[in-house]
Amino acid sequence: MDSPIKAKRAGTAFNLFFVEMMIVLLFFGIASAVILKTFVTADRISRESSRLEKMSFCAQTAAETFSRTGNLSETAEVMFGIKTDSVSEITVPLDESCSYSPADSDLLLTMTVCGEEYDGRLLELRISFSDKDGGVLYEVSSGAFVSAAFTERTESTYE
Amino acid sequence: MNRPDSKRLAETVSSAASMTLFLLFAVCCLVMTAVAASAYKRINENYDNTFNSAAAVRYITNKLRACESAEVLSETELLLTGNGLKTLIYCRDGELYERIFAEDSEISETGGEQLFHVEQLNLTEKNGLVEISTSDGKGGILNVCCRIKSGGDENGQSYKG
Repeated sequence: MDSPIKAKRAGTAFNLFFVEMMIVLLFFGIASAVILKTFVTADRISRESSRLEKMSFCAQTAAETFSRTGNLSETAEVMFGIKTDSVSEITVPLDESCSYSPADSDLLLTMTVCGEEYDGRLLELRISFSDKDGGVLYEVSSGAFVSAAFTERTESTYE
Repeated sequence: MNRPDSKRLAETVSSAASMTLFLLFAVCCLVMTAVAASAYKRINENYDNTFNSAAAVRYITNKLRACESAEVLSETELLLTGNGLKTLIYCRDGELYERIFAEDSEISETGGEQLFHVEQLNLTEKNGLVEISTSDGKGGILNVCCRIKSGGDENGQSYKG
């Protein structure tokens, strides 16, 4: 006659715990990957935001300097200490902190005088930042009023 | 006779493996928490530094645009005049302060209202442009130039390049 009391297998409890831990670790690994990816993305966005802020300040400086000087070559000289004869477009290599860096550049700043109105008294300047591959990162246009006398002086200097 | 011994061995191995897995889980939890805390701290610090420096620079440039005339008194002091008031913006002990005076009163660098934390502020004036430079003390420097009205007329003819 069979006894109604069955012998319990000693290893069952441990095996169940083992399987449970395996499942817990699997979910933990998936969650960890998602969390790490989120933090890496947050860090990258934070750095990009900081870089964008620097670019916006650099663009502001370029616009303010251009509105004071009225021409590109003097703007480039005041901002970065470089001399150029170009009057319509200048490209300046910059590093991550938007400082002039001809040897090791991360960004390219392009300043273009793209239009004029009121007989040349209102000049439009386009300021554009791009990466090494040519992708535009930040772009802004600004206008600067310059007097007729000032425009004539600028034109006679660079004609 | 051999069977109970092998059972005991299996139990011991199973128990050890479970405990090892649990230990691995605990260690992973700790590492994960440490990495997340470190990343969060770095992001927060970066945000704070950028915000404080940028906010200070933007505040000063907006004030410069709004005023009637501006004068750089020293590397850390800027005096703005407008609407019958004088506004002194200055940096002391890593903090940016602002104090407003009546136009005829004497200016002093005490009792200003604290605005932002700025480790270092440098103001220089050249050719009608004020260069504002702030540093967060960790290598982060922000530079911006802003026109001032006292440096020439509205159209910029006074620039001597």
